[in-house]
Amino acid sequence: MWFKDIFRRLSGSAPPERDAVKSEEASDALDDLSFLRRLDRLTLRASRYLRGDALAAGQRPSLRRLPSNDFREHRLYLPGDDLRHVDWNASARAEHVFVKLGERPKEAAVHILLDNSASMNWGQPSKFWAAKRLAAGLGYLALSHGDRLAIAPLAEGRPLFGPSHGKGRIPAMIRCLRELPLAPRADFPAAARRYAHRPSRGGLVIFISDLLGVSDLASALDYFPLPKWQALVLHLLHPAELAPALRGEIELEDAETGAQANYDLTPAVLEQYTFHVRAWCESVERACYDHTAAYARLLADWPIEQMVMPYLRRRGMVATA
Amino acid sequence: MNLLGLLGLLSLPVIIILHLLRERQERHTVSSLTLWAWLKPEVRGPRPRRAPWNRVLALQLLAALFLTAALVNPQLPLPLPPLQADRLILILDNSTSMSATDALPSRLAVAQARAAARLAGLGSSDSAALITVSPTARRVGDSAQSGLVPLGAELAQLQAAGVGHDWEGALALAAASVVPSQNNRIVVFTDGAFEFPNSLQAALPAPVEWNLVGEPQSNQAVVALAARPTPSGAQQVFARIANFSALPAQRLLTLLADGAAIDSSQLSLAPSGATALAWTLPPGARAVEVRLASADALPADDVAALGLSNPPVDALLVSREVVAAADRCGGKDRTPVERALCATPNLRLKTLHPETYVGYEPHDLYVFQGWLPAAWPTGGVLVIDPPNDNPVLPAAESAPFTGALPADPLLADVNWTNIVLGSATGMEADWLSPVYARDGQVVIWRGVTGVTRVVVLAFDVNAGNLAKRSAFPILVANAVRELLPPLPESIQPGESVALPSAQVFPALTLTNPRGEAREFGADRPMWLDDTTRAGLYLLEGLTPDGSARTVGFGVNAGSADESDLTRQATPAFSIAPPASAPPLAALPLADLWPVFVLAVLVVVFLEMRVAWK
Repeated sequence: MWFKDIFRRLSGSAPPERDAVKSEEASDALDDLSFLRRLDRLTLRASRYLRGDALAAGQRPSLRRLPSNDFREHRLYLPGDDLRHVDWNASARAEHVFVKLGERPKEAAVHILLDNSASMNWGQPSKFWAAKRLAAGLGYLALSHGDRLAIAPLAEGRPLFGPSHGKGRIPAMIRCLRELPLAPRADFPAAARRYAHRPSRGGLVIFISDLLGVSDLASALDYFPLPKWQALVLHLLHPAELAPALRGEIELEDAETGAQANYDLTPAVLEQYTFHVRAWCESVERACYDHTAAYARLLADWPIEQMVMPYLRRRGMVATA
Repeated sequence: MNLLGLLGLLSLPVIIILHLLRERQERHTVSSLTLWAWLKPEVRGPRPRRAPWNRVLALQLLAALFLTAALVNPQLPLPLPPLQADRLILILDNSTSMSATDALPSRLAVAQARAAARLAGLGSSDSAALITVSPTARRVGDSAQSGLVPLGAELAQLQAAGVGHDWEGALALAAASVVPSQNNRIVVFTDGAFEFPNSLQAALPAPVEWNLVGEPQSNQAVVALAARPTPSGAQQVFARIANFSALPAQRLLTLLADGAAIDSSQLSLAPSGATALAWTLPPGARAVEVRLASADALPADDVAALGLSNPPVDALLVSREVVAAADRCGGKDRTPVERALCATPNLRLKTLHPETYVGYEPHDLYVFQGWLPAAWPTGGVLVIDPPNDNPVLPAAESAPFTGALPADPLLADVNWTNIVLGSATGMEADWLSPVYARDGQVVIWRGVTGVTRVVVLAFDVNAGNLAKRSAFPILVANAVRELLPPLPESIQPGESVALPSAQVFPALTLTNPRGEAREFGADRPMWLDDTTRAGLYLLEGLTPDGSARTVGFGVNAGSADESDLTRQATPAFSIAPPASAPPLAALPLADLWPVFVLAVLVVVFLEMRVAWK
């Protein structure tokens, strides 16, 4: 009957949105990893100016030429150079000893900062579920192409995985993401500052977050300046946040803070809400560009392979290997 | 209308509160309230709740209103056909005047036909009751018990019989026959030839409809006929002939004695006048008739008859004080009891000692003085001074009697002044009832045990002075008349008459005025009720000693009330339903609660469809 749910609140049953977000669901986000193999042809686009470890087995072109068998030019022999790289023929024709210089591929450091606050644990599917799948996909691209990968939850401010490189670390990465816990809250600027102040050579830093409750995104991005860092902000939202299916007088509860407020959601109010959310997204995007960070807005229900990667490719964030 | 039903309006705020509660409980969790922080301040935060108007709430409020209306149960005067069954109460005037033949075949027949037509118009759910008025009110039948067809048969068998009208009893029976839940109507079929008592203009719980039959008619009647024995043994007969007409009348009158005409004369009756006639009949005449020739509108009152001989009463006195004799009244040295019994007209007394009581012959009346047999005989028994130790009437000491006793026919014309009675014996038989008490002690009792009627004089008549006073033979004569009612000289139609006992006439033949004979044996009824036809009724029978005797009585219909057929007018009284009863012209009040209950069901159905959609 119509009155069956009058005392629903007293019975303690959770609202539908809470029912939809379950921890088991988040842990199941990485059960199906078949899509990772189909991402092999993609790679993360990183700046050539990022500092990399040339001694590592990376695949990214290095700006500096090093003694190599792959000849590009000569330079004079310096003490300490490996004699295997001396061009004896050219040295025989001249009075100096020349060492052959060539391009040696380098690795890039990829840092994925994943928002694990409670606000991410909302929606159907939840944003946390989508964020972990997205982090898995990006991490797979990094590890499979010789990049060094570190994954850090924003609430921690330090890597829970890595820095590591090599395909052999993919299972460990998956396990780390699967066991990544939710935190009640996350202070985005503080976590960014704490992560940036760690000893590091910089690299490609990817923020995956809904940016809800982030009051000062600009100051957070300031901790990752060029050319040491290349920042990429993946703004992950849920479709219900852009166009909520709510009507009438409703009491809303903040999933992260637990605060409550009553609203009379008329169509006009909802239209006003949509306008403000769009304006907020634009302000976030503007702040990213102002701080030389790439920005991409993603939705939680987008499939990785069919929608997210093509979208990031169009935005120049991933490229064909 | 039930005003308490208005309490149902309290359900309206309850429904609204339930909806407010339901709305208040609608809580949704969002990822962050910061997305909503930009909304205008007036739509944020707690504020007074508004009723969440929607179709479900509107339908529920409407259902509650209809339910309240059903509980209040308003009534409206609607011109709806009455759903109640008809209850027809027929009061039929069956007095002698209804046998007048001005409306062929008779007024009663016409009334019966009209009543039958009204019965035929009733439906299967309707009912009817039939009440007759004359001579006493009687409910003939009720279709609620027997059905309409048997009631119609009983209606068809009614005959005009009786002088006078018992309107009081008839209206009381009609009021008792009213069924409150039905549409009652009282219909009176009468010729209007009566005077309705003004004291009966009381309200009846149903409307009354008068249905008059017949027209005013001139009529001549024998309104009185009486006989008186002369000292020489002859009978002097008096007759009164009345003319109920505004015109003079000429009628031929014939006097018959034992069926033989002994006088005939032409009477000239003045308008609305009367003539008195007298004849002296020779001794030995057993019956006399007076007849008016050339029948008028009411032939029943043109003849009058009298029975002049009554059967003798054979009495047996059993006492230790008497001398056994077959006919004691002719002897000498009679005791006071013997003298009192012999002074009773038409009584033959036989006396016995108690020792010779065994093997007695049957008698009409037994008188036991100072002694009682082991068992009561059949018939009437007068007990005088019963012994204390007897098996049929045990004596007992009783408390002084302090109650008041009404006047009793047994004590009619008995002067108790200066009469001293002997000590009385107390009675403990529960079938006896006190008749007369003296000095706190009941001295006269009466009762019926089995088929024996008993009068007890519980005192010794020789102890006081009662036996020497005239009150004693009068008391004995009253007791004999009560124990053995005599055959009347004449009665009115419809009255009952006591038949002579089987001890007097073991076999009896009754011949009515039409010459129809009816045999009665020893198991005859005590009373003869079939006396509707006016004229001379003859009773012929054989006495126990083998001698044939003929007695008779007349049934005379003529009377000033019934023979006056000129009084034909609508009764000058009105009988209205009581004030508490709904007026006849008012439309019936229809209950509207079924309509509202139906509306509630419809609205609830719609609400369920809307709520579950």
